[in-house]
Amino acid sequence: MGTSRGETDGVESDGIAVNDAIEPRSDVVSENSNFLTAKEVEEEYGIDLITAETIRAGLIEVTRHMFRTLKESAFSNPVREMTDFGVCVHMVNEDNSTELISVTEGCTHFAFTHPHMMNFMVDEWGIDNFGPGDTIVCNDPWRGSIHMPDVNLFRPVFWEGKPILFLSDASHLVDIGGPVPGGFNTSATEVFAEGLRIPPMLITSNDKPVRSTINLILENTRTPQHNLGDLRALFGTMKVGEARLLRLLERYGADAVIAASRYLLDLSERRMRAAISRVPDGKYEAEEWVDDDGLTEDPIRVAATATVSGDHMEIDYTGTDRQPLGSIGSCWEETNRMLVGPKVVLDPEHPMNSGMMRCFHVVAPAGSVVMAAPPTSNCQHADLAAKVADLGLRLCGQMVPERAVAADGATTFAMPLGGIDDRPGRGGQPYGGIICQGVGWGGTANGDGISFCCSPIYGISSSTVELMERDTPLMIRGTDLQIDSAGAGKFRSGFANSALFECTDGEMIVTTLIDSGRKTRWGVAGGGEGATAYVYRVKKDPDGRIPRVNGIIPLSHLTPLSGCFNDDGLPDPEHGIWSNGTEFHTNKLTNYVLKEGETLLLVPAAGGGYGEPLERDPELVRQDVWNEKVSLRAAEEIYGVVLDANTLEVQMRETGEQREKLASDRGGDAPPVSWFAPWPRTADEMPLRASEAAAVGAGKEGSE
Amino acid sequence: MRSWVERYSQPRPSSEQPTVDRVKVEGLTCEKCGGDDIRRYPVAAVHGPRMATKCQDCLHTLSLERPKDEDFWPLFRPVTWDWEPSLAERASRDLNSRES
Repeated sequence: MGTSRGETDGVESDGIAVNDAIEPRSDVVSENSNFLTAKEVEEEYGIDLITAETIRAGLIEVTRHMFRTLKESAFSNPVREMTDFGVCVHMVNEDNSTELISVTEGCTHFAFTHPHMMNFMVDEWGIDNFGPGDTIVCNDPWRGSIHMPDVNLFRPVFWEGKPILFLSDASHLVDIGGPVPGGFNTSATEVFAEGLRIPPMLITSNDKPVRSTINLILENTRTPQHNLGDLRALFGTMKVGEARLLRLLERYGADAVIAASRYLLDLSERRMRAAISRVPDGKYEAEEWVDDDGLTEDPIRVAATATVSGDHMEIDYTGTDRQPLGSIGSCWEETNRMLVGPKVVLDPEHPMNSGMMRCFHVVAPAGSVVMAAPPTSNCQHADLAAKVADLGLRLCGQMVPERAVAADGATTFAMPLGGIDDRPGRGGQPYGGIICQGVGWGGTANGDGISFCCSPIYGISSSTVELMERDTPLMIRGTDLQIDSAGAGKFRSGFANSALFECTDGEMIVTTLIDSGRKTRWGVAGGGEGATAYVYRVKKDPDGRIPRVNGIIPLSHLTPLSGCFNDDGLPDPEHGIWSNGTEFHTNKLTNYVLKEGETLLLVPAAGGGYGEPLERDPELVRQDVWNEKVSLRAAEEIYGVVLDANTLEVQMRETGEQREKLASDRGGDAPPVSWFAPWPRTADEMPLRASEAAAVGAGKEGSE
Repeated sequence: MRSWVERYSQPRPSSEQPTVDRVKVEGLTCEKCGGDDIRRYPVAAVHGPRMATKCQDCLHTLSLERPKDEDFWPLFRPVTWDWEPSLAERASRDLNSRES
């Protein structure tokens, strides 16, 4: 039986394999040569294809059960609301290395982190020292953990006296101790000032909780009541996974499960090798910039060269800056996070497992920001992570231009917070939480980038406003898609979503995980750049109100804390100067005391656009104006679309003329950076809503 | 031989942009392309930290080894790396071995 990619993976649609947009290179690999027939699968693995595929799906189903269990039982709001975790099954190879065979992740990172971390654990603990019912806990970034707030658990699954499989899960605890609630201390220069570092330790032995380990965690963190709940949720998730795996083993036998695991790993590898083989051999280079490390003002360069040779790729971070003094470095994670881009661009349809990772080597210079040496601080790695993810996309976008993705906002845009809750009925208990509101994604060849979603690298959900307000004295006064902020393009980016946070009781300690304030995010294929990030303190009217329309608040009501401002004091991503007249020289505030009644306005960066904005369907521009995402001015000056100010209908003849003029004026230069201008200084200068403008223009009464 | 304590505490590099030392391996030829520029250097591979010996012309991997102490890769390694496990750390394994 001949197999095409579509037939092999069951992803055909109308007779066309999903991946057929990319022509295979006939000189390197034929379309079918990397895939096996059913007969060949049986000969190679000693298992029939149907059973192998059934077990492959069964292993994924195990992790789905684990995922649901952890999400529904976790106390940590990043886990239960944002799904900032992953659950995995790993196979033990003959040389005692392990490979991830199935994963269900909320956060993309874990699918790439846990394969390495599992190997760190087995190498250090020793496979022969694991017993049934043992569980190892570790959160050490130098042993593969993403960061210390992530508590990772690893548990062997025994069959006939041997650990043949492992399970892993993880939970982002809302506090891990150290001087700053939440563990993101941007002023730290050493890991000792960040929180509790946990080397591999038994946390269950023979299925009994190890009291000393649990006490160590609970007695060194601010929120023991949450953290114990999370540890129990992690144990329960392991038990569910183990029970499901044992049922799979009982039903099909260990030999079949191991054979199917070898098959699924090889299948993933074959697919990725075929995809790499279609990329022209050669070197591909890209760079990204992190604003600063939170301590010093120097921007940090992250660069990589991907060398493609046949069906193998080596990605080398040479050219990347050394680790900074502050906490932006990463200790191991960027070696596997770099593979997210290739996975997303080259073989996005196939479920993730370690097989695809066999096709890559990553070279990371010791002491660089992507391989920071102990004992440096590293808790702010998350904003480096967002840049590395975009770096991978940028490299692979050159390899397969039709799948290029423009930059996203490339920042965590999260705010860890903590304090003592003195609201009635709260009994002065400590609280912690992380609010994460998402950013704008980049445009693609197929459509606009989405808004309000966490950076694609994280793949997680935004936090839930109502639960955050219930569990902490934080009030989310509003979130807005900021008008005119999206990188322009034939397909524009998502919008910057500004958010207003107010403390309603006592003093709240907050940290802002925000980058991309200094440089605009890039577009591709002629697409424009999006808005940069800002942080403000808000001055309310005496009656407590804040004038605000579509994310625009007049300067009279804002105190700039960080961002790019021009000499007139106006926010200006394109011509403004970084930290010009601001209170801070970084967006990464730490240990900031938000007093009762005080309000912060956080504005993330938007992404870049895909394709020339003058080629955007005028109807799509009209819809954006009608929805008050794009102003009449931007429609005309950036997209060249002229709308009737009264009816908001597209004026086709004027649009054609305007587009010709703009194309001539730009002369092939990039379109302007998207930004609302002129920014109002007072409430009287605030823009009318589009609907109001139309109503006023038509002689009707405007509506509030 | 570097001291174990260096794995715990390393200075910030003086170089603005650190590089990886790709050590030339003499006397080897690439079995795939015949090239003789063979180098050994630290990489992150599918199983984590490894020392790769690779042809620099075609990137063919001649060998992929677990790092030795002297490779100083990964950057951190605990001093207890090759110590015998305590009874407590093997309790479940030993208990189940006795029972079976």
